[in-house]
Amino acid sequence: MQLEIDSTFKINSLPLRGSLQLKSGELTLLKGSNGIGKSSLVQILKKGKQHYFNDENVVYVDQTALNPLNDISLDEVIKQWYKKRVEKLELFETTYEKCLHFRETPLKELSGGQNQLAKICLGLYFSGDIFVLDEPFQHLDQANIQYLYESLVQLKKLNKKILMIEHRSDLIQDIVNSSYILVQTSDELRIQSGS
Amino acid sequence: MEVDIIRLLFVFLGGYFLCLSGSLSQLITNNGIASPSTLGMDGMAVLTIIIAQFAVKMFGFDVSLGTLSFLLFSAFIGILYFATRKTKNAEGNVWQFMEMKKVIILGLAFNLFVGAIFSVIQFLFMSLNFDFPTGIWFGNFKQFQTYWIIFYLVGLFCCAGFVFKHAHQLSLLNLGKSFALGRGTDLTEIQRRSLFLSLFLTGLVICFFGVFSFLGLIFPHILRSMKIFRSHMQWEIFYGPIIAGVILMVFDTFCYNFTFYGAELPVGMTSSIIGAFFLIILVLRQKV
Repeated sequence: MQLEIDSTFKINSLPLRGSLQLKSGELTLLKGSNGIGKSSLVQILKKGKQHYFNDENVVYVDQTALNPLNDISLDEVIKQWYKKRVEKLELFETTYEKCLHFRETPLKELSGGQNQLAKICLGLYFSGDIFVLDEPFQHLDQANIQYLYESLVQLKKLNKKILMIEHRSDLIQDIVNSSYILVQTSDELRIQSGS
Repeated sequence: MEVDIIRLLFVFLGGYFLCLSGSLSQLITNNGIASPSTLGMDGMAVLTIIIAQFAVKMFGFDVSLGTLSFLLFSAFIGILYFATRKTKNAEGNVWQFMEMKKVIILGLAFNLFVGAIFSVIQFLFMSLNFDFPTGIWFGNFKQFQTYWIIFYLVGLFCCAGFVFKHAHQLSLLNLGKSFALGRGTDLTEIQRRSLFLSLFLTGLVICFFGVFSFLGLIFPHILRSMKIFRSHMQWEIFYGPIIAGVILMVFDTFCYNFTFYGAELPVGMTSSIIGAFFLIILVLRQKV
């Protein structure tokens, strides 16, 4: 599928133009310097879900930590939203196992790494056709980085489309199928194809 | 022990509205210390009461102060509601007269404004020999007109419609704005509607019965300290306000039947004092 970004949306007052190609079973990497607007692009995709993705189910794992007002835990989120699950992924079960020691802890009390793992777990729980991941390796320890890497390989095998923003491209360089770069010119932000 | 059914109904609905208003304020800001008072909603409502009092004295309107101030308040938030509505212009671009952030800042400014000009207004009332509406600072349910129940039932109807329609999105919002947006919530619209419902409910209580400081802040925390509401935002939105209404009814029945040197204790004052202590205990136990 082709994501055409027109100039309606602006990041840091600059219009954004370009397109991204997402293919089933492929991982698409988007890179760019710090603060250029990669995460803002994810927000734009979220706000314009209907426009960009039509009726496809999209799962987002972004950089913002889960920080509820009450004492809800990962376990309770899963119990409360079981009706909203569109697909049962085996990958979710293994990720859920990895959260065993903190899944009953209130989400607001989790460490950065635990919160990140909880977000990934929820993403796999709800599942979808497209996964948009914004810096998914942040806060994770070496064992969980390896686990997430293997999960991405599994998602590709399940024919999911994956769009990923990641600075540490060395972690995933052997599973990336195509990459794009967000660059700033004098009057606009442009998504360019290439390494 | 005496019981006034109509009064109890007002008290119950007052507690219900303040609690829901508090929960919504905290949800849309993702901040546990947000409340109708801290966001300046109380200030807006108080300002309309003062204006209404002035208008009644100056022009001799034959209408109760509560009704006039509430109508003024409704007109005011109605204008704000439409000013923050997103519309498409001729070129197809989305256009909004006023952003939500500005409404919140406006509310905070009103809070400061009412505080700052309080002494000036008091002076004007004294110099013009008008009765200053001192009763509004101590919320109580001593005086009411039975027909006010119509306004309250409209408020209840709005709450029910809103809660049934948006409870799921609000519980997603509890996990974070970004998470809710990712799950398909129209974040801007749900925040706008929540803010205006919260504003409307606060006005509904304050314009008719005076200021109930911090109850909107305390009630959601009291609920979250209970096991059944600790981790279930939908239940807090659905059933929490009912519990809050009942709690306020208990307080009001106590105030109604046990007077202090012949004077009825304002329920807003007693519940705020006890509620404030409760909040301090929760903070010390690091639950907030």
